[in-house]
Amino acid sequence: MTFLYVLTRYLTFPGVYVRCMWEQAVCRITKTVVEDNRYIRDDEMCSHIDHELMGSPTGALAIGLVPCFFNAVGVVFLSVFPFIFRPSSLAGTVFSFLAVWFVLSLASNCFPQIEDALNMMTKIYKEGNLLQKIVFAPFAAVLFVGAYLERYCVTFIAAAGGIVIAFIL
Amino acid sequence: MDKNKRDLSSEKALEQELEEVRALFEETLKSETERAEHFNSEEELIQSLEDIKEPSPPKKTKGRNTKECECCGEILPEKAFAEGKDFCENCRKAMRRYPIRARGIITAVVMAVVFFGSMITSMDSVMDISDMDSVEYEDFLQGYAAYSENELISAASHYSSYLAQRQGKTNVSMTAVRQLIDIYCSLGEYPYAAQLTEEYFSDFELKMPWNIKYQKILEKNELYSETYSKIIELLKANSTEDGYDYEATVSQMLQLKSQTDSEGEKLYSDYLLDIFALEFSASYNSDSAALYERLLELDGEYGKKESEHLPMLCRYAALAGDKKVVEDCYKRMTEINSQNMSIYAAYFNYFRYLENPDTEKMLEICKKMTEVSGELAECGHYNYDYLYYLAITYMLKGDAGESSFNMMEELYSCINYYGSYYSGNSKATDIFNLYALTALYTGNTDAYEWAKEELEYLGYEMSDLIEKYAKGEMTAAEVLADKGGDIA
Repeated sequence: MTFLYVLTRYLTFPGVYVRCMWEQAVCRITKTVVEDNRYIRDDEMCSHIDHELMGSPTGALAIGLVPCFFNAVGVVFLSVFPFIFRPSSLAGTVFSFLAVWFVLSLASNCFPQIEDALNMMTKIYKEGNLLQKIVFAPFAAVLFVGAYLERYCVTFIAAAGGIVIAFIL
Repeated sequence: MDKNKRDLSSEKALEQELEEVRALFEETLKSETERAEHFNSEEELIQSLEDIKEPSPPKKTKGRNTKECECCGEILPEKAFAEGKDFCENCRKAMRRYPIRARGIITAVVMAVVFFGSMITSMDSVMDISDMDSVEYEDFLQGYAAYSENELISAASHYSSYLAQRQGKTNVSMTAVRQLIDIYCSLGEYPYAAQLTEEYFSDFELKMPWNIKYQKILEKNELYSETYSKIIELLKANSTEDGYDYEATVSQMLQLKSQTDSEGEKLYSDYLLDIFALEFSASYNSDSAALYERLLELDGEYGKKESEHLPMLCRYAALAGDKKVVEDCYKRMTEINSQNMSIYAAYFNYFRYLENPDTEKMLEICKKMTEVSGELAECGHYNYDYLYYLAITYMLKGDAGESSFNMMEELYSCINYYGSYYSGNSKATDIFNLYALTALYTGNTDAYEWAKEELEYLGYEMSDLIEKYAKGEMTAAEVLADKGGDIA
């Protein structure tokens, strides 16, 4: 499974770079220690930077949510022109190609690492206050499930399937 | 007490360390003295002494209450480490400020460039869609609506009109082009489909895997053109003064079929030859049962891919009274093109040739034909077949002979007004025969005589059935129930 996971990360490396950039940005803002900032590596840490676990519920949510949010924004923006307006010129086709690949890359690399997701659940539901437990719940649930789906390449398959359907429609 | 113990142990350690240093010094001195004896000059000796590397300071060893930093390797007291952390505070401070790698930023910038690039190259389509309310797009919208309702002839007409107004390739115009190509293919008009494909797709675009469909259309058109050229040559070769040598032509046509199939599929050219041979046979061969059987075989061979034979199959199924096949053909054809008049006519004839004609159903089909004729008239395609079939229906209902004649009068005036389709139209004899029948039915002998003269003028004779009806040897229902083709 790790082989498949790493292979799909190599195929979608632009999304990996962008995701890791946001993850590292969150680490810098929250002054979290980054132990290893290699973006691509041949193990399950591929597409995630190695950092110390977040100490607060907000930080724990942010490390998963911020990269996910910005990647999702990227997916939306890059999808508009190739899927809705579908340029037919040669230059437009080339740009559409790249945009679709970036969409696949960003969509396949949205979610946090499982360890971060587990830490997020622990911080929110054991250490968080009532307000955090309520407000963070939907995001935490999505990120937690997404982390597992991404680990098993489901997000990659779903994104690829979504692109095919979008083209057919 | 404890303090004294600690002092004693540190003195001992110091003594031991000094002893080690002394031993090391003596050993080094001895070996260097031995080495110096081998040098010839003082310079050489000095140089060799300079080359000696300074010994690295003795490495600190891990002791109790100390820990090695995993980053810098420094051995420091445990106090210098945060609880449960493997890095010293200095390293942790630096690791909090790990620089963000340039590749992430560069990728994000490239993505932004691609976004703007695709936006700029899509501008035509964006403007096109935002301008959709303008009058220019009325044709496109009507074409789109007609296409989604399977009204292919209306859709083709509206799309053609839109494309004539709109120059250049935009998202909207390419939607129209793609759908128009699909329409021409469904109607079996491959030359038009190929012409549009060549006009709107560059060679490069045609090579793209998602455009393989259009590449195949060009290939199919080549087969289409080649096949029709062969058929025309064959017809020329077999034409005689009296017409054609039908049987020889049909057998030669079938011999033109490819003996081998490519990739195990039936070739479109073979399908065309089969259809043409069947239509040609139908014009002289009265053995409708044999033709029907061959059509069923053809449907089995090509039915999943081609639909051009469906109206003919439905016509022969109606003559054979095969309800299942008739309904299947009708359903399949209307799902492809709901404006195919031939399929309505064939479906109508099934109910007409029943032992007790189902006039209600016939009337229903006529209404549908009227609707379709209205749709076709809106885009300049005039068809009045519904009047002909209404005349038959009214006559079979038996309660409105006048209505039948009125229908035929209307049909005649429509044809006269919108242009003659008598000359060269196989339906011309049917129309005059039916006209004569309705005239006799209503006792209008002048009109009957006029129809007879018109037929003679066109080089035909009045049908025997009508003559028999005129003599009172047959009823109108019997004439109309005849499947011989005088009033098809």
